Amino acid sequence: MGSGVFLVLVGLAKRTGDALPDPVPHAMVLTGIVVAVSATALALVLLLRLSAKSGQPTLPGGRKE
Amino acid sequence: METMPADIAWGVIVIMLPLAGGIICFLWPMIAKTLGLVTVMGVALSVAGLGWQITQNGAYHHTVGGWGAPLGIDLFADGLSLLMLIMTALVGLGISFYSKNYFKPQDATWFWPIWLILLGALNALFLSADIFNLYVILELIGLAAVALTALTGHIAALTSAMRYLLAMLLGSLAYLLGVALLYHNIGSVDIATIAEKIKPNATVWAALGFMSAGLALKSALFPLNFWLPPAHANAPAPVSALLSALVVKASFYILLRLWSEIFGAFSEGAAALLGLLGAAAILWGSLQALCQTRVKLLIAYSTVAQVGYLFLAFPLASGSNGMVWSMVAYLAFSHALAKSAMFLVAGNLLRFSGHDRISDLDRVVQRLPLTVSAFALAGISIIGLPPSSGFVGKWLLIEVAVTQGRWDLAAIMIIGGLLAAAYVFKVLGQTFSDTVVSHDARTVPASMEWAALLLAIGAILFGFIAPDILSLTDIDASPGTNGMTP
Repeated sequence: MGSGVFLVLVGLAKRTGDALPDPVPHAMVLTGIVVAVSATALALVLLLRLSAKSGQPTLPGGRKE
Repeated sequence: METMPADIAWGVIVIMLPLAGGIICFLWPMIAKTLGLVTVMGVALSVAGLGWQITQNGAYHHTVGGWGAPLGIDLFADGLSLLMLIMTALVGLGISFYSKNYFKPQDATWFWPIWLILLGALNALFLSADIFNLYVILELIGLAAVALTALTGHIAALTSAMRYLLAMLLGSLAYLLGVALLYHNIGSVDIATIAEKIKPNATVWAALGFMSAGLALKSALFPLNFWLPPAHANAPAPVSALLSALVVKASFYILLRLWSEIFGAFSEGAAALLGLLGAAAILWGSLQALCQTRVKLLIAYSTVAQVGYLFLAFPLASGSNGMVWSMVAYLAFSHALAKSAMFLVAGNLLRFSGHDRISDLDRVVQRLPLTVSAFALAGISIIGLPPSSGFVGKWLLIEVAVTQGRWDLAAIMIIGGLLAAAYVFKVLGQTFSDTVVSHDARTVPASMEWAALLLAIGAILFGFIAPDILSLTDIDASPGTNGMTP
Protein backbone atom coordinates (compact mmCIF):
# COMPACT_ATOMS: atom_id res chain seq x y z
CA MET A 1 0.00 0.00 0.00
CA GLY A 2 2.84 2.36 0.85
CA SER A 3 4.62 1.93 -2.46
CA GLY A 4 1.31 2.28 -4.26
CA VAL A 5 0.62 5.65 -2.69
CA PHE A 6 4.13 6.82 -3.52
CA LEU A 7 3.73 5.72 -7.14
CA VAL A 8 0.44 7.59 -7.38
CA LEU A 9 2.18 10.69 -6.07
CA VAL A 10 5.00 10.41 -8.63
CA GLY A 11 2.52 9.63 -11.38
CA LEU A 12 0.52 12.73 -10.59
CA ALA A 13 3.68 14.81 -10.97
CA LYS A 14 3.57 14.48 -14.77
CA ARG A 15 2.50 17.69 -16.40
CA THR A 16 0.76 18.01 -19.71
CA GLY A 17 2.90 18.91 -22.71
CA ASP A 18 6.67 18.95 -22.74
CA ALA A 19 7.12 20.77 -19.43
CA LEU A 20 9.39 19.21 -16.82
CA PRO A 21 7.63 17.15 -14.17
CA ASP A 22 6.49 18.94 -11.05
CA PRO A 23 9.28 18.53 -8.44
CA VAL A 24 7.10 18.98 -5.35
CA PRO A 25 5.50 15.50 -5.37
CA HIS A 26 8.95 13.98 -5.79
CA ALA A 27 10.14 15.82 -2.72
CA MET A 28 7.04 14.61 -0.89
CA VAL A 29 7.68 11.01 -1.98
CA LEU A 30 11.29 11.22 -0.77
CA THR A 31 10.09 12.41 2.62
CA GLY A 32 7.43 9.74 2.64
CA ILE A 33 9.96 7.01 1.86
CA VAL A 34 12.17 8.13 4.72
CA VAL A 35 9.20 8.01 7.06
CA ALA A 36 8.15 4.60 5.73
CA VAL A 37 11.66 3.18 6.23
CA SER A 38 11.73 4.26 9.86
CA ALA A 39 8.24 2.89 10.42
CA THR A 40 9.28 -0.43 8.88
CA ALA A 41 12.36 -0.52 11.08
CA LEU A 42 10.24 0.01 14.17
CA ALA A 43 7.82 -2.67 13.05
CA LEU A 44 10.68 -5.14 12.47
CA VAL A 45 12.18 -4.48 15.90
CA LEU A 46 8.77 -4.96 17.52
CA LEU A 47 8.18 -8.19 15.63
CA LEU A 48 11.65 -9.56 16.42
CA ARG A 49 11.18 -8.87 20.10
CA LEU A 50 7.70 -10.33 19.98
CA SER A 51 8.77 -13.55 18.29
CA ALA A 52 11.74 -13.85 20.63
CA LYS A 53 9.42 -13.56 23.63
CA SER A 54 6.51 -15.65 22.46
CA GLY A 55 8.29 -18.07 20.15
CA GLN A 56 5.66 -17.59 17.46
CA PRO A 57 5.92 -15.67 14.23
CA THR A 58 2.31 -14.48 14.35
CA LEU A 59 0.43 -12.03 16.51
CA PRO A 60 -1.29 -13.96 19.31
CA GLY A 61 -5.02 -14.04 18.89
CA GLY A 62 -4.69 -13.60 15.16
CA ARG A 63 -5.56 -16.38 12.75
CA LYS A 64 -2.73 -18.80 12.25
CA GLU A 65 -2.36 -20.22 8.77
CA MET B 1 5.60 40.90 30.66
CA GLU B 2 5.91 44.34 29.08
CA THR B 3 9.59 43.87 28.45
CA MET B 4 9.00 40.77 26.35
CA PRO B 5 9.82 41.51 22.73
CA ALA B 6 6.81 40.78 20.58
CA ASP B 7 8.83 39.14 17.85
CA ILE B 8 10.30 36.19 19.72
CA ALA B 9 9.49 33.13 17.63
CA TRP B 10 7.69 31.28 20.45
CA GLY B 11 6.18 28.90 17.92
CA VAL B 12 9.62 27.69 16.89
CA ILE B 13 10.74 27.38 20.51
CA VAL B 14 7.65 25.35 21.37
CA ILE B 15 8.66 22.79 18.73
CA MET B 16 12.44 22.86 18.95
CA LEU B 17 12.80 22.84 22.72
CA PRO B 18 11.24 19.42 23.35
CA LEU B 19 12.92 17.92 20.26
CA ALA B 20 16.33 19.14 21.41
CA GLY B 21 15.55 18.04 24.97
CA GLY B 22 14.55 14.59 23.70
CA ILE B 23 17.78 14.14 21.79
CA ILE B 24 19.89 15.24 24.76
CA CYS B 25 17.96 12.79 26.94
CA PHE B 26 18.92 10.01 24.52
CA LEU B 27 22.56 10.99 24.74
CA TRP B 28 22.76 11.47 28.51
CA PRO B 29 20.26 9.08 30.12
CA MET B 30 21.61 10.02 33.55
CA ILE B 31 20.04 13.46 33.47
CA ALA B 32 16.94 12.42 31.49
CA LYS B 33 14.47 12.83 34.35
CA THR B 34 15.63 16.28 35.46
CA LEU B 35 16.09 17.53 31.93
CA GLY B 36 12.70 16.14 30.94
CA LEU B 37 10.92 18.00 33.72
CA VAL B 38 12.79 21.23 32.97
CA THR B 39 11.99 20.92 29.27
CA VAL B 40 8.29 20.32 29.84
CA MET B 41 8.15 23.37 32.12
CA GLY B 42 10.05 25.38 29.51
CA VAL B 43 7.55 24.32 26.87
CA ALA B 44 4.66 25.34 29.12
CA LEU B 45 6.24 28.77 29.59
CA SER B 46 6.81 29.14 25.84
CA VAL B 47 3.18 28.22 25.19
CA ALA B 48 2.25 30.96 27.67
CA GLY B 49 4.49 33.34 25.73
CA LEU B 50 2.89 32.32 22.46
CA GLY B 51 -0.54 32.71 24.01
CA TRP B 52 0.31 36.22 25.17
CA GLN B 53 1.57 37.04 21.68
CA ILE B 54 -1.59 35.69 20.03
CA THR B 55 -4.02 37.45 22.35
CA GLN B 56 -2.12 40.71 21.80
CA ASN B 57 -1.41 40.57 18.07
CA GLY B 58 -3.92 38.11 16.67
CA ALA B 59 -2.99 34.96 14.80
CA TYR B 60 0.65 33.97 14.77
CA HIS B 61 2.47 33.31 11.55
CA HIS B 62 6.06 32.32 11.04
CA THR B 63 7.77 31.43 7.79
CA VAL B 64 10.53 29.01 8.70
CA GLY B 65 13.83 30.00 7.13
CA GLY B 66 12.15 32.88 5.31
CA TRP B 67 10.50 30.67 2.69
CA GLY B 68 6.95 31.73 1.88
CA ALA B 69 3.67 29.86 1.62
CA PRO B 70 3.74 28.05 -1.74
CA LEU B 71 7.12 26.37 -1.23
CA GLY B 72 8.24 26.78 2.37
CA ILE B 73 6.90 25.26 5.54
CA ASP B 74 4.85 27.78 7.45
CA LEU B 75 4.01 27.75 11.10
CA PHE B 76 0.63 29.11 11.94
CA ALA B 77 -1.29 29.50 15.18
CA ASP B 78 -4.76 30.85 15.79
CA GLY B 79 -7.01 30.52 18.80
CA LEU B 80 -7.83 26.89 18.06
CA SER B 81 -4.15 25.92 17.86
CA LEU B 82 -3.50 27.89 21.02
CA LEU B 83 -6.25 26.02 22.88
CA MET B 84 -4.76 22.69 21.79
CA LEU B 85 -1.24 23.85 22.75
CA ILE B 86 -2.45 24.87 26.20
CA MET B 87 -4.16 21.48 26.54
CA THR B 88 -0.94 19.70 25.60
CA ALA B 89 1.13 21.81 27.97
CA LEU B 90 -1.21 21.30 30.95
CA VAL B 91 -1.68 17.58 30.46
CA GLY B 92 2.04 17.26 29.71
CA LEU B 93 2.96 18.98 32.96
CA GLY B 94 0.64 16.75 34.97
CA ILE B 95 1.88 13.58 33.33
CA SER B 96 5.52 14.58 33.68
CA PHE B 97 5.21 15.18 37.42
CA TYR B 98 3.38 11.88 37.68
CA SER B 99 6.03 10.01 35.70
CA LYS B 100 8.81 11.39 37.87
CA ASN B 101 8.18 8.62 40.38
CA TYR B 102 6.28 6.14 38.25
CA PHE B 103 8.87 4.49 36.09
CA LYS B 104 11.58 2.09 37.09
CA PRO B 105 14.99 3.59 36.22
CA GLN B 106 15.56 1.40 33.16
CA ASP B 107 12.17 2.33 31.70
CA ALA B 108 12.60 6.00 32.56
CA THR B 109 15.69 6.36 30.39
CA TRP B 110 13.51 5.46 27.42
CA PHE B 111 10.32 7.16 28.49
CA TRP B 112 11.68 10.69 28.74
CA PRO B 113 13.33 11.04 25.32
CA ILE B 114 10.36 9.51 23.49
CA TRP B 115 7.86 11.56 25.45
CA LEU B 116 9.75 14.78 24.71
CA ILE B 117 9.87 13.96 21.01
CA LEU B 118 6.16 13.17 21.11
CA LEU B 119 5.54 16.51 22.82
CA GLY B 120 7.53 18.35 20.15
CA ALA B 121 5.62 16.54 17.41
CA LEU B 122 2.25 17.34 18.99
CA ASN B 123 3.16 21.02 19.25
CA ALA B 124 4.37 21.00 15.65
CA LEU B 125 1.09 19.42 14.57
CA PHE B 126 -0.99 22.13 16.22
CA LEU B 127 1.18 24.79 14.57
CA SER B 128 1.18 23.46 11.00
CA ALA B 129 -0.70 25.00 8.12
CA ASP B 130 0.30 22.52 5.47
CA ILE B 131 -1.37 19.16 4.83
CA PHE B 132 1.82 17.36 3.80
CA ASN B 133 3.70 18.64 6.81
CA LEU B 134 0.80 17.33 8.87
CA TYR B 135 1.35 13.88 7.36
CA VAL B 136 5.01 13.80 8.37
CA ILE B 137 4.20 14.96 11.89
CA LEU B 138 1.36 12.47 12.12
CA GLU B 139 3.82 9.68 11.36
CA LEU B 140 6.24 11.04 13.94
CA ILE B 141 3.49 11.09 16.56
CA GLY B 142 2.43 7.58 15.56
CA LEU B 143 5.95 6.17 15.82
CA ALA B 144 6.59 7.83 19.19
CA ALA B 145 3.23 6.64 20.50
CA VAL B 146 3.88 3.06 19.38
CA ALA B 147 7.33 3.10 20.98
CA LEU B 148 5.79 4.34 24.24
CA THR B 149 3.12 1.62 24.14
CA ALA B 150 5.79 -1.05 23.82
CA LEU B 151 7.82 0.47 26.65
CA THR B 152 7.30 -2.26 29.22
CA GLY B 153 8.32 -5.01 26.81
CA HIS B 154 5.66 -7.51 27.93
CA ILE B 155 4.15 -9.72 25.28
CA ALA B 156 0.74 -8.10 25.66
CA ALA B 157 2.24 -4.63 25.33
CA LEU B 158 4.32 -5.62 22.29
CA THR B 159 1.34 -7.23 20.59
CA SER B 160 -0.91 -4.25 21.08
CA ALA B 161 1.91 -1.93 20.03
CA MET B 162 2.28 -3.93 16.81
CA ARG B 163 -1.44 -3.73 16.07
CA TYR B 164 -1.36 -0.05 16.94
CA LEU B 165 1.55 0.50 14.53
CA LEU B 166 -0.26 -1.28 11.68
CA ALA B 167 -3.41 0.77 12.28
CA MET B 168 -1.37 3.99 12.44
CA LEU B 169 0.46 3.22 9.18
CA LEU B 170 -2.74 2.34 7.37
CA GLY B 171 -4.37 5.52 8.64
CA SER B 172 -1.54 7.81 7.63
CA LEU B 173 -1.13 6.21 4.20
CA ALA B 174 -4.82 6.72 3.52
CA TYR B 175 -4.33 10.31 4.60
CA LEU B 176 -1.27 10.67 2.34
CA LEU B 177 -3.25 9.34 -0.63
CA GLY B 178 -5.81 12.04 0.08
CA VAL B 179 -3.02 14.63 0.20
CA ALA B 180 -1.72 13.42 -3.17
CA LEU B 181 -5.14 13.70 -4.77
CA LEU B 182 -5.75 17.14 -3.33
CA TYR B 183 -2.33 18.32 -4.47
CA HIS B 184 -2.98 17.01 -7.95
CA ASN B 185 -6.31 18.76 -8.07
CA ILE B 186 -5.28 22.07 -6.59
CA GLY B 187 -1.52 22.34 -6.85
CA SER B 188 -0.86 23.32 -3.28
CA VAL B 189 -0.56 21.75 0.11
CA ASP B 190 -1.23 24.93 2.05
CA ILE B 191 -4.59 24.70 3.85
CA ALA B 192 -5.61 28.28 3.11
CA THR B 193 -4.74 28.06 -0.59
CA ILE B 194 -6.67 24.82 -0.91
CA ALA B 195 -9.67 26.34 0.84
CA GLU B 196 -9.69 29.19 -1.67
CA LYS B 197 -9.43 27.07 -4.78
CA ILE B 198 -11.41 23.99 -3.92
CA LYS B 199 -14.37 22.92 -6.05
CA PRO B 200 -16.39 19.79 -5.47
CA ASN B 201 -15.51 17.13 -8.03
CA ALA B 202 -14.74 13.43 -8.05
CA THR B 203 -11.06 13.81 -7.11
CA VAL B 204 -11.85 16.05 -4.17
CA TRP B 205 -14.52 13.61 -3.02
CA ALA B 206 -12.04 10.75 -3.15
CA ALA B 207 -9.49 12.84 -1.26
CA LEU B 208 -12.10 13.72 1.34
CA GLY B 209 -12.97 10.05 1.75
CA PHE B 210 -9.38 8.85 2.08
CA MET B 211 -8.31 11.60 4.46
CA SER B 212 -11.38 11.30 6.67
CA ALA B 213 -11.18 7.52 6.81
CA GLY B 214 -7.48 7.56 7.64
CA LEU B 215 -7.88 10.16 10.34
CA ALA B 216 -11.00 8.48 11.74
CA LEU B 217 -8.96 5.29 12.05
CA LYS B 218 -6.30 7.20 13.94
CA SER B 219 -8.86 8.88 16.18
CA ALA B 220 -10.44 5.48 16.92
CA LEU B 221 -13.88 6.40 15.61
CA PHE B 222 -16.27 3.46 15.91
CA PRO B 223 -16.00 0.93 14.18
CA LEU B 224 -12.32 1.66 13.55
CA ASN B 225 -11.51 1.57 17.24
CA PHE B 226 -10.30 -2.04 17.46
CA TRP B 227 -6.72 -1.02 18.18
CA LEU B 228 -7.40 1.47 20.94
CA PRO B 229 -8.52 -0.52 24.00
CA PRO B 230 -5.66 -3.06 23.99
CA ALA B 231 -3.04 -0.42 23.23
CA HIS B 232 -4.29 1.95 25.91
CA ALA B 233 -4.85 -0.75 28.49
CA ASN B 234 -1.47 -2.44 28.08
CA ALA B 235 0.66 0.68 28.05
CA PRO B 236 2.04 2.09 31.31
CA ALA B 237 -0.45 4.46 32.98
CA PRO B 238 1.20 7.78 32.08
CA VAL B 239 1.49 6.57 28.49
CA SER B 240 -2.18 5.57 28.35
CA ALA B 241 -3.00 9.02 29.65
CA LEU B 242 -0.88 10.61 26.93
CA LEU B 243 -2.35 8.44 24.18
CA SER B 244 -5.92 8.95 25.27
CA ALA B 245 -5.71 12.63 26.12
CA LEU B 246 -3.40 13.95 23.43
CA VAL B 247 -2.52 11.53 20.63
CA VAL B 248 -6.14 10.73 19.75
CA LYS B 249 -6.83 14.48 19.75
CA ALA B 250 -4.00 15.11 17.31
CA SER B 251 -5.62 13.31 14.41
CA PHE B 252 -9.01 14.66 15.42
CA TYR B 253 -7.53 18.16 15.29
CA ILE B 254 -6.45 17.63 11.67
CA LEU B 255 -9.90 16.36 10.80
CA LEU B 256 -11.40 19.41 12.50
CA ARG B 257 -9.09 21.74 10.60
CA LEU B 258 -9.76 20.08 7.26
CA TRP B 259 -13.51 20.10 7.69
CA SER B 260 -13.85 23.55 9.14
CA GLU B 261 -11.52 25.11 6.54
CA ILE B 262 -11.85 22.99 3.41
CA PHE B 263 -14.49 20.33 3.21
CA GLY B 264 -17.19 21.66 5.50
CA ALA B 265 -19.05 23.61 2.85
CA PHE B 266 -20.04 20.83 0.49
CA SER B 267 -20.14 17.51 2.22
CA GLU B 268 -23.39 17.15 4.11
CA GLY B 269 -23.74 13.46 3.37
CA ALA B 270 -20.27 12.56 4.60
CA ALA B 271 -20.79 14.74 7.66
CA ALA B 272 -24.02 12.90 8.44
CA LEU B 273 -22.14 9.59 8.15
CA LEU B 274 -19.43 10.76 10.55
CA GLY B 275 -22.11 11.94 12.96
CA LEU B 276 -23.89 8.58 12.74
CA LEU B 277 -20.64 6.75 13.49
CA GLY B 278 -20.04 9.16 16.37
CA ALA B 279 -23.46 8.37 17.81
CA ALA B 280 -22.83 4.64 17.43
CA ALA B 281 -19.44 5.12 19.12
CA ILE B 282 -21.09 6.79 22.12
CA LEU B 283 -23.54 3.96 22.64
CA TRP B 284 -21.18 1.09 21.83
CA GLY B 285 -18.19 2.52 23.70
CA SER B 286 -20.25 3.29 26.79
CA LEU B 287 -21.86 -0.15 26.84
CA GLN B 288 -18.48 -1.83 26.36
CA ALA B 289 -17.05 0.29 29.16
CA LEU B 290 -19.90 -0.85 31.39
CA CYS B 291 -19.05 -4.49 30.70
CA GLN B 292 -15.36 -4.24 31.49
CA THR B 293 -13.92 -5.75 34.62
CA ARG B 294 -10.62 -3.88 34.61
CA VAL B 295 -10.30 -0.18 35.35
CA LYS B 296 -7.92 0.61 32.51
CA LEU B 297 -10.01 -1.16 29.88
CA LEU B 298 -13.09 0.63 31.20
CA ILE B 299 -11.37 3.99 30.80
CA ALA B 300 -10.10 3.02 27.34
CA TYR B 301 -13.63 2.19 26.13
CA SER B 302 -14.83 5.40 27.70
CA THR B 303 -12.36 7.17 25.40
CA VAL B 304 -14.02 5.50 22.42
CA ALA B 305 -17.36 6.86 23.63
CA GLN B 306 -16.05 10.36 24.26
CA VAL B 307 -14.42 10.49 20.82
CA GLY B 308 -17.92 9.77 19.54
CA TYR B 309 -19.10 13.05 21.10
CA LEU B 310 -16.42 14.92 19.19
CA PHE B 311 -17.61 13.45 15.90
CA LEU B 312 -21.20 14.52 16.54
CA ALA B 313 -20.00 18.01 15.67
CA PHE B 314 -19.72 17.21 11.98
CA PRO B 315 -23.44 16.95 11.11
CA LEU B 316 -24.21 19.91 13.38
CA ALA B 317 -21.59 22.21 11.91
CA SER B 318 -23.30 23.22 8.68
CA GLY B 319 -26.17 25.06 10.35
CA SER B 320 -24.24 26.90 13.03
CA ASN B 321 -21.62 29.02 11.24
CA GLY B 322 -18.61 27.53 12.93
CA MET B 323 -19.62 27.82 16.57
CA VAL B 324 -19.76 24.05 16.86
CA TRP B 325 -16.06 23.77 16.00
CA SER B 326 -15.03 25.85 18.99
CA MET B 327 -17.42 23.96 21.24
CA VAL B 328 -16.01 20.65 20.17
CA ALA B 329 -12.44 21.90 20.59
CA TYR B 330 -13.44 22.90 24.10
CA LEU B 331 -14.95 19.47 24.68
CA ALA B 332 -11.74 17.85 23.47
CA PHE B 333 -9.83 20.08 25.88
CA SER B 334 -11.95 19.10 28.87
CA HIS B 335 -11.85 15.43 27.91
CA ALA B 336 -8.05 15.57 27.72
CA LEU B 337 -7.80 16.82 31.29
CA ALA B 338 -10.40 14.46 32.73
CA LYS B 339 -9.23 11.38 30.86
CA SER B 340 -5.57 11.86 31.68
CA ALA B 341 -6.56 12.22 35.34
CA MET B 342 -8.53 8.95 35.10
CA PHE B 343 -5.66 7.01 33.59
CA LEU B 344 -3.28 8.36 36.22
CA VAL B 345 -5.75 7.21 38.87
CA ALA B 346 -5.77 3.78 37.25
CA GLY B 347 -1.97 3.84 37.46
CA ASN B 348 -2.17 4.66 41.16
CA LEU B 349 -4.61 1.81 41.82
CA LEU B 350 -2.37 -0.52 39.85
CA ARG B 351 0.68 0.58 41.80
CA PHE B 352 -1.20 0.35 45.07
CA SER B 353 -2.73 -3.08 44.81
CA GLY B 354 -0.90 -4.69 41.92
CA HIS B 355 -4.05 -5.20 39.84
CA ASP B 356 -6.86 -3.11 38.42
CA ARG B 357 -9.78 -5.52 38.65
CA ILE B 358 -12.80 -3.45 39.53
CA SER B 359 -14.44 -6.11 41.68
CA ASP B 360 -11.37 -6.44 43.91
CA LEU B 361 -11.01 -2.80 44.78
CA ASP B 362 -11.58 -2.75 48.51
CA ARG B 363 -11.63 0.22 50.85
CA VAL B 364 -9.44 2.18 48.47
CA VAL B 365 -11.33 5.27 49.49
CA GLN B 366 -9.84 5.11 52.97
CA ARG B 367 -6.35 4.29 51.86
CA LEU B 368 -5.99 6.48 48.77
CA PRO B 369 -8.47 9.31 49.38
CA LEU B 370 -6.76 11.73 47.02
CA THR B 371 -6.73 9.23 44.20
CA VAL B 372 -10.40 8.38 44.59
CA SER B 373 -11.31 12.07 44.75
CA ALA B 374 -9.41 12.56 41.51
CA PHE B 375 -11.39 9.74 39.91
CA ALA B 376 -14.67 11.17 41.17
CA LEU B 377 -13.89 14.68 39.92
CA ALA B 378 -12.71 13.43 36.53
CA GLY B 379 -15.80 11.24 36.40
CA ILE B 380 -18.02 14.28 36.98
CA SER B 381 -16.48 15.94 33.96
CA ILE B 382 -16.75 12.80 31.80
CA ILE B 383 -20.40 12.30 32.76
CA GLY B 384 -21.07 15.98 32.12
CA LEU B 385 -22.42 17.09 35.49
CA PRO B 386 -22.33 20.80 36.28
CA PRO B 387 -20.19 22.79 36.96
CA SER B 388 -17.44 20.82 35.21
CA SER B 389 -15.97 21.68 31.84
CA GLY B 390 -17.41 18.47 30.41
CA PHE B 391 -20.86 19.75 31.35
CA VAL B 392 -20.38 23.05 29.54
CA GLY B 393 -19.09 21.37 26.38
CA LYS B 394 -21.84 18.77 26.25
CA TRP B 395 -24.56 21.25 27.19
CA LEU B 396 -23.57 23.54 24.33
CA LEU B 397 -23.55 20.63 21.89
CA ILE B 398 -26.96 19.42 23.06
CA GLU B 399 -28.32 22.95 22.78
CA VAL B 400 -27.10 23.24 19.19
CA ALA B 401 -28.58 19.84 18.38
CA VAL B 402 -31.95 20.86 19.82
CA THR B 403 -32.06 24.22 18.06
CA GLN B 404 -31.34 22.45 14.79
CA GLY B 405 -34.10 19.97 15.47
CA ARG B 406 -31.68 17.05 15.76
CA TRP B 407 -33.49 15.48 18.72
CA ASP B 408 -31.97 12.09 17.88
CA LEU B 409 -28.43 13.37 18.43
CA ALA B 410 -29.41 15.21 21.60
CA ALA B 411 -31.04 12.08 22.98
CA ILE B 412 -27.94 10.01 22.23
CA MET B 413 -25.75 12.54 24.01
CA ILE B 414 -27.97 12.36 27.07
CA ILE B 415 -28.05 8.55 27.01
CA GLY B 416 -24.25 8.59 26.67
CA GLY B 417 -24.06 10.78 29.77
CA LEU B 418 -26.24 8.36 31.73
CA LEU B 419 -24.15 5.38 30.65
CA ALA B 420 -21.00 7.29 31.61
CA ALA B 421 -22.51 7.88 35.04
CA ALA B 422 -23.18 4.15 35.27
CA TYR B 423 -19.61 3.12 34.52
CA VAL B 424 -18.01 5.82 36.67
CA PHE B 425 -20.15 4.84 39.65
CA LYS B 426 -19.45 1.18 39.00
CA VAL B 427 -15.82 1.90 39.86
CA LEU B 428 -16.56 4.43 42.60
CA GLY B 429 -19.02 2.10 44.32
CA GLN B 430 -16.41 -0.62 44.56
CA THR B 431 -13.89 1.71 46.14
CA PHE B 432 -16.27 2.18 49.07
CA SER B 433 -16.88 -1.53 49.60
CA ASP B 434 -15.62 -2.94 52.85
CA THR B 435 -14.77 -6.43 51.68
CA VAL B 436 -11.18 -7.26 52.49
CA VAL B 437 -9.13 -8.68 49.67
CA SER B 438 -5.70 -9.75 50.70
CA HIS B 439 -2.92 -8.24 48.68
CA ASP B 440 0.39 -6.65 49.39
CA ALA B 441 -0.47 -2.96 49.45
CA ARG B 442 2.32 -0.68 48.31
CA THR B 443 2.58 3.01 48.97
CA VAL B 444 1.85 5.43 46.16
CA PRO B 445 4.16 8.46 45.98
CA ALA B 446 2.40 11.70 46.85
CA SER B 447 3.40 13.31 43.55
CA MET B 448 1.46 10.63 41.68
CA GLU B 449 -1.68 11.21 43.74
CA TRP B 450 -1.46 14.98 43.44
CA ALA B 451 -0.77 14.96 39.69
CA ALA B 452 -3.98 13.01 39.10
CA LEU B 453 -5.96 15.19 41.50
CA LEU B 454 -4.73 18.47 40.02
CA LEU B 455 -5.60 17.38 36.48
CA ALA B 456 -9.08 16.38 37.66
CA ILE B 457 -9.54 19.69 39.50
CA GLY B 458 -8.42 21.43 36.30
CA ALA B 459 -11.14 19.57 34.39
CA ILE B 460 -13.72 21.00 36.81
CA LEU B 461 -12.30 24.51 37.11
CA PHE B 462 -12.09 25.09 33.37
CA GLY B 463 -15.87 24.86 33.39
CA PHE B 464 -15.96 28.19 35.22
CA ILE B 465 -13.93 30.06 32.62
CA ALA B 466 -15.60 28.42 29.62
CA PRO B 467 -16.59 31.74 27.97
CA ASP B 468 -12.97 32.91 28.00
CA ILE B 469 -11.79 29.68 26.46
CA LEU B 470 -14.53 29.68 23.84
CA SER B 471 -13.66 33.26 22.87
CA LEU B 472 -10.02 32.17 22.45
CA THR B 473 -11.01 30.10 19.45
CA ASP B 474 -12.47 33.14 17.74
CA ILE B 475 -9.02 34.61 17.10
CA ASP B 476 -8.69 34.65 13.34
CA ALA B 477 -9.96 31.28 12.26
CA SER B 478 -8.46 31.37 8.75
CA PRO B 479 -4.84 30.26 8.44
CA GLY B 480 -2.51 31.46 5.74
CA THR B 481 -3.19 35.19 5.86
CA ASN B 482 0.60 35.50 5.79
CA GLY B 483 0.54 37.77 8.80
CA MET B 484 -0.67 40.68 6.68
CA THR B 485 -4.07 40.96 8.32
CA PRO B 486 -3.95 40.15 12.01
